[in-house]
Amino acid sequence: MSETANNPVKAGPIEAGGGEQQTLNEYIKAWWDRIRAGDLGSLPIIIGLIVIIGIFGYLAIDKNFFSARNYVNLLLQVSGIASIAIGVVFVLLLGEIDLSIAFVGAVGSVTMTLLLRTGEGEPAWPWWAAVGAAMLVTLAIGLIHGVIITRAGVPSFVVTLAGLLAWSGVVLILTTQYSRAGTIVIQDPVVKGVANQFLSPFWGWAVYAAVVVGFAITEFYQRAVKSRQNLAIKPIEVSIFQIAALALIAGGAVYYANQDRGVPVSIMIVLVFLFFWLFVANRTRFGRYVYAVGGNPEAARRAGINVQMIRISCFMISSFMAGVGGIILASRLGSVSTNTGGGNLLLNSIAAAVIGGTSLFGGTGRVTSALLGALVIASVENGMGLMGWNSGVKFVVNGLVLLAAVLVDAYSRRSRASSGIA
Amino acid sequence: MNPLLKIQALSKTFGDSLQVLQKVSFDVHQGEVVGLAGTSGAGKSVLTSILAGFESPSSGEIFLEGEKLINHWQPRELGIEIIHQEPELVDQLDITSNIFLGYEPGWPNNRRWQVVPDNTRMDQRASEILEKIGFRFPNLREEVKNLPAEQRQILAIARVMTREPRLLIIDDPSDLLSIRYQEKLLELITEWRSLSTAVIFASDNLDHLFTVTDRIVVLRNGEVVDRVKTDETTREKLVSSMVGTRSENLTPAIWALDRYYRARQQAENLQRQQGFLQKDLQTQGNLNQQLVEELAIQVRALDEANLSLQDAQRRLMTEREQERKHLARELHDQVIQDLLGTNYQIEAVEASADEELSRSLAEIRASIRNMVDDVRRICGDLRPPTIDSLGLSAAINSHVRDWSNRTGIQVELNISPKLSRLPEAIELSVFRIVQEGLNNVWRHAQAQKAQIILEPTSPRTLLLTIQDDGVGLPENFDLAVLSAGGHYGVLGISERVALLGGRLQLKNRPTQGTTMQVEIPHPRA
Repeated sequence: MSETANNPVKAGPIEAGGGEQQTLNEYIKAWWDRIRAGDLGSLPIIIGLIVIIGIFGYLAIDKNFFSARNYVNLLLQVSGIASIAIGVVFVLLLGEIDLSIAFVGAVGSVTMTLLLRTGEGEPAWPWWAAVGAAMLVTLAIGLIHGVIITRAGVPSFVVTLAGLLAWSGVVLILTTQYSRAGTIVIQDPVVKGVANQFLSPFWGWAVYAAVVVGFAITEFYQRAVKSRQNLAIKPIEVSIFQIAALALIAGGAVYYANQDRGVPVSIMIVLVFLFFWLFVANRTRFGRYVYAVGGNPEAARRAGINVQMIRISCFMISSFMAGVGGIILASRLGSVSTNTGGGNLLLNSIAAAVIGGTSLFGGTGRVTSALLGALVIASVENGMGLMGWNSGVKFVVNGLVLLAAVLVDAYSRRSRASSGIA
Repeated sequence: MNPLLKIQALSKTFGDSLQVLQKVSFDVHQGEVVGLAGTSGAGKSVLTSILAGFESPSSGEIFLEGEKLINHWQPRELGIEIIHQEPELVDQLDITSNIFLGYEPGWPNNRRWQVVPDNTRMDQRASEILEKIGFRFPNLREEVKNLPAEQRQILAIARVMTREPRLLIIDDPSDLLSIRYQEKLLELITEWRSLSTAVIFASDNLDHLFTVTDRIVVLRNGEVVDRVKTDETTREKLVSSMVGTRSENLTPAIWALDRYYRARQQAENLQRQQGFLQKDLQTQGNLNQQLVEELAIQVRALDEANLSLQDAQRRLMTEREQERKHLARELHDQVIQDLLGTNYQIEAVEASADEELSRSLAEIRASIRNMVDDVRRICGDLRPPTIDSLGLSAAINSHVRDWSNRTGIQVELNISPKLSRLPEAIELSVFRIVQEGLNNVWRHAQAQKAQIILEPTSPRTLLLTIQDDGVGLPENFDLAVLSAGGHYGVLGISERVALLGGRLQLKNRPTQGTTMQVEIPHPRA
């Protein structure tokens, strides 16, 4: 262990010098070194997104792929998948999987719809009570999954596969019991508004301004804290670049949405949840423990973390966010039916999280990856829908996209291992 | 005082027959460093992981401050911190997060619900702790998967320092640490001790054990084979109880590492064989065991008798030294003064005497002066005057110079400057041994040159070597024969050494002459 001097970490005995402020060149070089070593971060997904948009932009240019209308439709499509995928990220961070999410979301949305129904003299529940009840039901389902998985020591794959079957049955039972046709229409205007209402341009820009200013303030506050502590700070140019990039991209997104109906309420709901779970994952003790349990359960246990509690909580988060996604999707259709939760919703949601860069082996991944992955999935679906391809081709293309994402992950993992930072 | 940790008849069996711990019992008190010595495979790691709550014992009980611990406790909740042989870190988390994992200080500032960790506070505290260990990371936000093993181990040590444990269990982490940080760890252990934290320190590194521990519990094949106070044992005794063989011809200077590691290998082989033998033994029934137990009882009784004999001898020796001191002072203050007084009187008489008388008076005065010199030398032999005020090395120095002048034998004196002041009894004994040793050289060896080396071999042992280039020992040299012949010199030395719990060795040098080596343990200086 005498090679501390040759170590790229530059750590060493105390007289070996401390951390200095990075220059811009050093920062770029360090970033490039990381990329070359296979530590790609969100880079592949962003490149992939650009490639996909480019392909469909070329193929479907005459079918209005770039129109504002289609763009807002895309945002609506993204919302449902993204919120389910956010929950999946937590389960994947543990190195577990939840196959039941699509139908758990369906159970939530069916519960809500049934409570909102006025029938046989009993009054409908107010929307907030119905939504709250649906959320409690999904939380309870997550609790059941989590407890079985941790207490019985059964792999999550098996338990949630059983959940997939059982909850799809529950959806069938509930929908056919209350409607002969198997379709129940949502009557509540607030719930219907989730996916069918849009922010006015003024509010769209107000939210935009709040987000950009908020980001800038946090960024500079963190710089101040770090410099007070004498820690290495990234160059000021990088901070300014990041703020400007956010302002530009988000500004473009709001502006373009305003050309059509405006920013959908559903995407705002997703963003609120995204920020909330981002905070939970990155800033709270709980989030830290999720990464710890996913990365090295033995180390987490020895450090005094209640590993079972963390596991159960993550399955509850997964079910809860599936419920949120289920409600958004139901709101978009305006009804629930025997088909709710079916189709490729489950695979799309898990694929979104994985494509976004969350490892299936636990411990690595970001909550934001759910949104990026959902954007990729929704763009492909949207483009293929415009092209009018049949569903066989759609499945094949979806499969190839997922495969590409997993291969990129595997290769970057290998090159990380060979460069000694895995 | 009640012990902080009480371990009672702890046993652990894997499967049906693989017994890795057998009725291990010992106590740990507050502010005490208990060493857990044993070769690899002796059961140290199993014992520490049981204490850490990771494994449950097959039988036996553990009490923490009188409260019984139930299986699978969470040690950190009880104020027990553990440093493992291999650190367990979360690769995906950064340095600070790993150091504070499980107990992050944060907001709101409440003991249980610190939901949002305070990164600023944690970073500050982390760099303070790392500074104390003597290490600095350029970026505390670095993920630990990039760190080499030694730095990971440093993080594991830093984690322990974020809290104030009641009990610290250290399962020798020094394999992954360079010497610099091994020494740091020893310093930290001493500091924890002074903060009255109890420490259990499992190690097979004798230097480490002798530096920091108060007591040492020796494990062999899962059994406690010895419990000793660190101040009262030697490295060799410890090794022989670790490996379970008593070997008489280990040379004190080199036996340390070489033999120890070879012994360790042998012990491992033996242990494997013992596993087979144990099975046979079990089928044979308890008859042998009974015999062994009876023998053990007798041996213990003998040991006790020996101990009380030694005690009596020690008291005798102390009294003898006291007596000598007294006698020396008496001679010096009384007899010498009287003689000198007489001398002055004679001088006064001499002035008024005639020539012949004054010549014989001058002769008398000269012989009185000789007597004074003789008495002074006797005083010095009885009680070296310098030892109380200037210490052992000064005393040896002046004695050797005198002796060399008297006998004409050249002495090369080599006292390590690292030698510090030791308890009076030990300094005196070493001085006496030097005295006796030189006398032997003069009387029996017919030597031209002699050499004396005095050096500390470890923080708690002292090695004295006296060599000469004389005729050497007779071929069938035996202490018993010597004493029968009235040669009490070597016998006296060997008694003194035995009383101090040390070890004496006499042998011929390869070319010419004799070497006498004495190793003596002593308490923390």
